[in-house]
Amino acid sequence: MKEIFLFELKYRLRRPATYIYIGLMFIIPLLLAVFADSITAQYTNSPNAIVGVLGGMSIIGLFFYAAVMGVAVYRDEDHKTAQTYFTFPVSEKNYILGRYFGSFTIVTFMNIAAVVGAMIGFGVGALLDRPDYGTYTSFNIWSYVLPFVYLLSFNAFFIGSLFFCLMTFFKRMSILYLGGIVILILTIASGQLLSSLDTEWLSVYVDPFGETAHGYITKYWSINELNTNQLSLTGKFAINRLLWLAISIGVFFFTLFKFSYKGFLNASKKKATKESNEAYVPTDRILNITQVFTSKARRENLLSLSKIEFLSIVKETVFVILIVIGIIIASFIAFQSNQIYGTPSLPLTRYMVSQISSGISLFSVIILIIYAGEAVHRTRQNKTFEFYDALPVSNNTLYLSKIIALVGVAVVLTLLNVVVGVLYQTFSGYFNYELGMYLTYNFTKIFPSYIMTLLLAFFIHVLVNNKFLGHFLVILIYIGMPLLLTLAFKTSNPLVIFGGTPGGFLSDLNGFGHYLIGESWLNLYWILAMGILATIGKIFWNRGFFSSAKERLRIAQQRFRGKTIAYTLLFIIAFISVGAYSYYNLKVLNKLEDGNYSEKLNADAEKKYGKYLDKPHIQVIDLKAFIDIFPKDRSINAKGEFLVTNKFSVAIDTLLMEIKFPIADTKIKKVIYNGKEIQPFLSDTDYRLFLYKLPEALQPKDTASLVIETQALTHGFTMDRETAVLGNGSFFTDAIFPSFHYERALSENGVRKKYGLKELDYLLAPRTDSTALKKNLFNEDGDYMNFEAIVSTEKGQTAIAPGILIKKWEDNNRTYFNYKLEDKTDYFFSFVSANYAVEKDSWTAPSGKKVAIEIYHSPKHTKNLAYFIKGIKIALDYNSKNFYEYPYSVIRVIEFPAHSNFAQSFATTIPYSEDFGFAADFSKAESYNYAFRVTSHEVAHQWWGHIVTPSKTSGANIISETLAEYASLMTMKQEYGENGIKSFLKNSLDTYLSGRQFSFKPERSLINVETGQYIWYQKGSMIMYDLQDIIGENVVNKGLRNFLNEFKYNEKGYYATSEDLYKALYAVTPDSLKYKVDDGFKEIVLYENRVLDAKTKKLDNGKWETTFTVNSKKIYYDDKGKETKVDDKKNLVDLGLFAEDKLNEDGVAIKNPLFFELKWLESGDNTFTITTDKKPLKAGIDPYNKLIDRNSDDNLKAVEE
Amino acid sequence: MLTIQNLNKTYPNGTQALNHVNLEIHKGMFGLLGPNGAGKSTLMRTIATLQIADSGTIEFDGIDVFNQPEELRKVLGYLPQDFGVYPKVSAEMMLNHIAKIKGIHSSSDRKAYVADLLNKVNLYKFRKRNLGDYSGGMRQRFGIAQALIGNPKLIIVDEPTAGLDPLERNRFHNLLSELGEDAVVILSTHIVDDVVNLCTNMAVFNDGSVVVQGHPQELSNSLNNKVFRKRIEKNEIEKYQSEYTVLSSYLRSGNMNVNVFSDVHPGDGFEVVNNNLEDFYFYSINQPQAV
Repeated sequence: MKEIFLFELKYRLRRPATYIYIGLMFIIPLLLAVFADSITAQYTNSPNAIVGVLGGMSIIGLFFYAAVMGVAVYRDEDHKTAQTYFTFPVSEKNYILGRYFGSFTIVTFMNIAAVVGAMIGFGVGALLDRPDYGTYTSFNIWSYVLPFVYLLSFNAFFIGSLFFCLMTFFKRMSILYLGGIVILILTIASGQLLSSLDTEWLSVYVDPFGETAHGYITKYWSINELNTNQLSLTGKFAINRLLWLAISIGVFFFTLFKFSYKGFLNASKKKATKESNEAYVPTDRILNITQVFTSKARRENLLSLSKIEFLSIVKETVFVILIVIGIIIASFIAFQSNQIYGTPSLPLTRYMVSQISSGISLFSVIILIIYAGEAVHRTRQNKTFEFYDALPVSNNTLYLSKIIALVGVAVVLTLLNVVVGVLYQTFSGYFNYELGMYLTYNFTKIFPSYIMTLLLAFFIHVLVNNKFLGHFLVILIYIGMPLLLTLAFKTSNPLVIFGGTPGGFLSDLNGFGHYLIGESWLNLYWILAMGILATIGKIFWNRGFFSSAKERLRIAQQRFRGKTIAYTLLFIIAFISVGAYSYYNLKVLNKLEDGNYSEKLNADAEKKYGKYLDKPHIQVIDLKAFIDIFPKDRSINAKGEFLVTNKFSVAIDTLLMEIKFPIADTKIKKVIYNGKEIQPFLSDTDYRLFLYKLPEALQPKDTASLVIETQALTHGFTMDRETAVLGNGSFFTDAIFPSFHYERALSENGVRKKYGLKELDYLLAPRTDSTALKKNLFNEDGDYMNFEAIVSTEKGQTAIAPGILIKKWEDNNRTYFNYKLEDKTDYFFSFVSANYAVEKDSWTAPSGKKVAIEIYHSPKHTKNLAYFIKGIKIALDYNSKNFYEYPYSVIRVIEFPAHSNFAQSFATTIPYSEDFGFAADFSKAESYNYAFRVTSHEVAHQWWGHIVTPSKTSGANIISETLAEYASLMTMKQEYGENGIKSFLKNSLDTYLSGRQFSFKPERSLINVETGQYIWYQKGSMIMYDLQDIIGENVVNKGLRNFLNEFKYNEKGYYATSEDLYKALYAVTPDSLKYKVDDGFKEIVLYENRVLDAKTKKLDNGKWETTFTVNSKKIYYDDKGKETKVDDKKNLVDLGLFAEDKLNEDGVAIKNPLFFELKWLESGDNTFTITTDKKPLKAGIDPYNKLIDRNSDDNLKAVEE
Repeated sequence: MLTIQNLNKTYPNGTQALNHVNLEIHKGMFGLLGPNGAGKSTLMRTIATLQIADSGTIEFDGIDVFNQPEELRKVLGYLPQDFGVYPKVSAEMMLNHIAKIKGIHSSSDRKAYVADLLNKVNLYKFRKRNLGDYSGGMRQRFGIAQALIGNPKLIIVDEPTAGLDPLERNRFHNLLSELGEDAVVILSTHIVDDVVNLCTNMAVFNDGSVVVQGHPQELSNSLNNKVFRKRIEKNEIEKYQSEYTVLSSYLRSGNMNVNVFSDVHPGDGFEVVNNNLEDFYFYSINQPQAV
């Protein structure tokens, strides 16, 4: 055995491929580690980050493990050495053990290379002066050794054993591909499973690599835990590792004991053979055979060769299996991703095309790479080339036939996207197939990418002449290069990223939009680039034998003549022309800069204009906006007639204007101040900031008139999706007018440090800053103001701005709409234009005022309108009754195209993404109706945001978001009952807990939060729900009503802070419960509640007496997630005993409490004895998970008898 | 006519496979005899356009093989020494495909032609069987069939009879000699009898160069009265090798025999062996400078 082991080792060490594998396993983690960055407080080289790099390597290593371990025994079959080898006096077990451990030693070398690579990479990263890449912790050998053992070595053992076994028993290369793909599927599937709360438990078992399992256990870790906890074989991670280790050992021993020389040799024997006993009947034709080598004959040859190549691919079992797996995965992905908040969306064609293709394309790319390799190597591998290459068929024909066959395969794969999409729709009971969209999408986006892939793969396989290495290089270029370019150069330039195109989006309103043009140019660019490679590949096409690289070059030189040169030149010229045109569009007509450009621009701007921060500036008190939208040209002309004032105590002599509109070419055409046109004395056209000297200074409390004309234009095609103005579905805000004050654009401290800017702990001013208290968080350019707008658009579209519609007219083939707001509001407006159908309803306020409800929607979306209307009505009702009557007489929900997925509340108007409920299939909803819920949240902003506007201070945004979330939650409670919102709270808890480790600034308490959405939405809703649960909804609402009345409409002269909100709630809370308000707003508190033990016994009177012990801990954490103290006071926590779950009227299982009570619990163990009428099955502490607790699984425990 | 001029080929590992090879081969069967590793296969492949030489030219009926490989391939029939097949394709289908490539475009003609060919190599019965299921001999016959498609003008067969039973070998010889009437046929082999039976011309190839070229009969006659055979004891070989120019030592009916070369009769116990090409072959590869 030792000899076999050593032979295997020596054999491997003599192969250049071994060093290439080891080299790659070294260099990849090195690069990953050097370019790893962290924008949170997590160290760039935290144990968790190292696990990420090394864990990822074992997935990449799959290739190499398979290449080394898979062929150890197969080699003897392949080289036909088995017959002799097996007659030597070596036992089967020793043979297997020797081969196995010989290869495994090599694989271990690779893994060690990966570890060393990562060490060096992180070391280099730490030494470089790059503050924007995060901070580093000191080197700890265990951070590398543990993932080396638990991830790399375990995985190498598993993958190695599996492939060793598969190849030993099946002896076919195809099994290697299949095995690899099945493992990749498991990995992908486990990731998908992890992303859903209901299935995440399963991911632990499915994940063969342990990465997902690690993700699962660290999901709720704080940054401190990520920084300090080493990988350890505990909990779910241990289950995963040991499970797969056991499988590996099983496979290993199976191979060891099942392997026999006889079996190995016999398995290749064939069964039935065909024979025919027909006798030969001679004909006389044969004598006058003529050979024709005309160009027609050549074309026919090309055709028939292509056909043969094509059939030899599509008839392969592996091909068919790959397709079947691809279809299954695609359907799975479509099923998984075609949902929002647990509610499936209708299988619209625009969803299907992208979801199906994301699954199928993965497999298509694999198929094309594999079969490009096969096409190149087929005649070599079976040695047919020894006579085949001497046949009178030209290199052109041979070469082209293979490419044509692959293109044919690409067509099949593209059509497969269509077929699977249509079938998926049919099986979902949806029959509105949009075949045009299917074909357009797949043949303009998917097919070109397949062509690029196959040409690239083909070229590389021709050049490299080694299958494994070829596959790997293709994948490296395919995935690695873009990754490197984005990581190292922060570029998104589609002219350098393989296959890059400017993206677009599909919409029911806007269709394909204007995006196909740019995409087609870039596709052409890349296909031509690959065309150049393909022509070059032709001269390197391997025909017959060549003895050295030099000779190959000589042959290539010889072949590079005549037509080949002409074609190469043609491709190069076409490529350069298309490239130049694309460059002109992307970079000359438009802006295309890498990530560092805008960083630097912003940093320079802060250095130049930082002096204008917090300086007095003009305030808008009245705006009449004239907005002309040109959907066809995708341009906007705007004129604003402003009445401005100086609310500060010093005169203002300078007017600052910064353009923040998302369309790059937005210009200020004209500025007229008090009737005089003024010109800027400073024009920074890069940063788009302009400074004007006012003809006469604006004195405090004085007013002036200001007219600003702006224009936004789009040119050619660009990387920017330019969603502000679209053919059908424009949506933009008041940013079409310049902003009158300067604001910092860089908030990340690493980046700030890099450019020598002051690091900011908090982004906003403290609540004690009296200037900041006078600023409106949403736009400090105006306090409560009057607004009127005349918006025009092309005939047929409806344009909408906030306010009631006063007038509508047509002129010059355009439609004009005049809107006016009935009441003052903050400076925050939207403009929308599209071809809409309108659904109307109304709501009557308690005072008797009638409010018109209008839903502007795509004529295609009529299904869910009722939910939006219901959301509006109930929210108007709840907020009006509890807080303050809705101040306007109209409220609108307006659909905008699916470039983003959000809704935003402006006074009276709520632009709403078409993806956010209009296409949902609520008949299949398993959870709350999110169209209703999001609508009620947005409507609540009319109060929380627009009536009470937050000040520009730390934490103030909770007034807008947490309170809108609270109001929405209360409307849901009213609509669905307590049980109906359980799943909502469960998701809130999950999102909050898993969001903590991604916190880009230290985790703030609710009262201080500035950037953490997971805090102001999810933690906020948890805290508010708990509060109203304990002190009562009415009490909370009373506090909020007081708060609103104090701060509404900026009547006080300054805006509300989070402290004001806290005080308002604190004031109405009974003393014994005030700790809840403190914990919720001012602290980071996690509970650790669990049931330790529960026993019940039947009493003589037939009742049941249950004694159970619960452990309760409330722990305070600092902003990095470090434990600061365990609370030693008593806390109020729900306790309950439960019978079998009941089903509610919707068929959803709900808990059935026999006993349920809030109890004051000591920190630590608490024992209770409760008597119930029926026998309890489960005992629980905080059984409904109202408190924030990282492990909610142990809150319930079965009761023993 | 095939003209090879000053052909040289050195492999990267230093082996000089072709060393100033000059050959002129006319219509008819031409035998290329040489030991293993002499460079025969390299020469065959080079003629068959599968490999290029470092220097020199090959011309066939006005076709410059290095510059017009595609022209040569139209008139070439090539059976390599070691070749593979598509395991899942039947012989009939594969031959049909090759026939098409070789310019036989009428599908009915092609079908008849292939059937005839299959019959000629005695595979008609197995024409539907997948090539992967063929035995070594059947596979070899398939190789022969593909090389014969399309009336090639230049036929190169490298060790064609390896693995064939005597019956099939004869059948093949007949087939080949038929074709040799109208084409240049190069038969590379180390079986001297094949050359004797079939070839009108031959060359002995060793260490990358042509040692001798001529008519087999004439060549073997050139050693008439200079080769002598003697039956000896097995342990006497070394003694004879040091005393005589031993061409070959071989067993016959269990007894050791030596053939020696000598200008004069070596004397006691030796008898003259005449007209034996094998002896000439051994003679020429052992003493290349002598001729």
